[in-house]
Amino acid sequence: MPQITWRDVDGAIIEAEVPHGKTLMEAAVNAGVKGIYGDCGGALACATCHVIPDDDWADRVGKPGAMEEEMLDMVDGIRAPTSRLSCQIRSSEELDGLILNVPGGG
Amino acid sequence: MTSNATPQISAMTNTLREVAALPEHGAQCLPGQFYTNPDYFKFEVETFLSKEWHCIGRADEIPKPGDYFVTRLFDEPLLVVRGDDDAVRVLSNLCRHRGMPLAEQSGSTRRFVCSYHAWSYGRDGELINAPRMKDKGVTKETCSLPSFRSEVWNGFIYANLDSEAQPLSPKLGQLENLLGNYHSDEMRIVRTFEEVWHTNWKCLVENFMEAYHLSVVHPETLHPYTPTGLSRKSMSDDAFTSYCANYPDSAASRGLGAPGLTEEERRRSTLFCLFPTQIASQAATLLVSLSIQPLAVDRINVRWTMSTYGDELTQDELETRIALWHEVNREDREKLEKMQRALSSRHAPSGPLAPRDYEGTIWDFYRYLGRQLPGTEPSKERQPLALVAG
Repeated sequence: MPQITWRDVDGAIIEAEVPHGKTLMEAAVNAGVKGIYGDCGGALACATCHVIPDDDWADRVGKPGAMEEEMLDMVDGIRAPTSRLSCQIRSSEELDGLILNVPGGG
Repeated sequence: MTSNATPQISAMTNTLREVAALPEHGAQCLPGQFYTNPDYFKFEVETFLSKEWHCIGRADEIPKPGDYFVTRLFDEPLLVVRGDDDAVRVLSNLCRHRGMPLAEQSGSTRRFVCSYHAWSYGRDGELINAPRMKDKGVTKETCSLPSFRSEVWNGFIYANLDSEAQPLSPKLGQLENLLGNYHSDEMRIVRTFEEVWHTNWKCLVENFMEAYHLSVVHPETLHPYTPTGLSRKSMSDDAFTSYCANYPDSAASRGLGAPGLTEEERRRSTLFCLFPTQIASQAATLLVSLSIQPLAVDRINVRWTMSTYGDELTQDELETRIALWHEVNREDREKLEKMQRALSSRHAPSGPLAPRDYEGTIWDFYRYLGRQLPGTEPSKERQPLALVAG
């Protein structure tokens, strides 16, 4: 099962095995990752699951779609060029070992 | 007297003044219209009910940060939540955007998210996020949840809609004397339950607080443990009234409870009414508290909680007690709902109250009601009637 690592708003490291196909927002909420809330349940309506992949991973995680792009303008924390909303990223073998940073402020 | 009081309300308040001024041995019931007149109910809500402290539940219902339950007080939906600082807060349960209720029933959460447009709030009511509202002046300063005055005393949570209200706890010294040994703040919740009864709020206060009916209405449920004949009026003052429902020697022990309890305290249930709407029965191992939420002149929501001390009672014993209380409430409710339908009669009586040990608490309640009439000077004595019946 793909293993995902979060560096949360306080810098704490949280690791979880995430079943294939599950969104990384849901996985983070289940794992209690501080700073990931998923208030709207994954409907691209709240921007409370903002993550920034470690540099090595940005390409494999991919770019946001048009609606996600618009929501990313609303995140409270500092937006990076590689920022994503983790409700739009699904676990896959390709992402095994992924490291996500959770920016502060939301 | 408020300027908008009708002649009928004025006449009724005069009657209440007269009834409240009767001596204890000559005490009489209030006439039926006090329980059936919708205008009088509105008058009560406006003049004192909406400005009083009301018990809304138990702190042991929400033992951990993030635990919450919702309830109502008159027109106000309330969200009762324990914060990360361990403080219990009573917040307005409406999203600041369009007024959608934020939470339902009870649970535990990291934050409250509105199901309508996903605005989110922290466990202290502070706004966290409002999607797409960055340029609309929506900030935690402008859009956090308003809070109501609240106090936790002996594990009970009290709320007051009136921001000018005097604090509650300083008025409860005498009641503390009565209940202190039971350590009710250490009790833990075993059940909460709510139902709507078709009765006037005062009828349930009076019913719960008088021992006269116990052996008649509850021959199998309460009479074996708390028969009318052994009941004794206990302490009272401006804030509360009480009586002791003593157990017969033949009754089996109902548990030891807190270590400092006297044998007398273990052999009775202490029933009290914290005016106006909390009625409760405190026993060694069990505490049952009913919060009466008046909805209309002939309708109340009853929210009751049962808490227990320590681990003395097994789950089976607790279930038996819960079932007993359901049965007792059913017996009372049946009587009160029948009486409510009859009290509009032109012949509704203002009969005499039974002797002190059996209905003296109702006399105390009437005098409390009398003190709430507009223009009545508040009592200057703090502990005017601290009498314990022998």
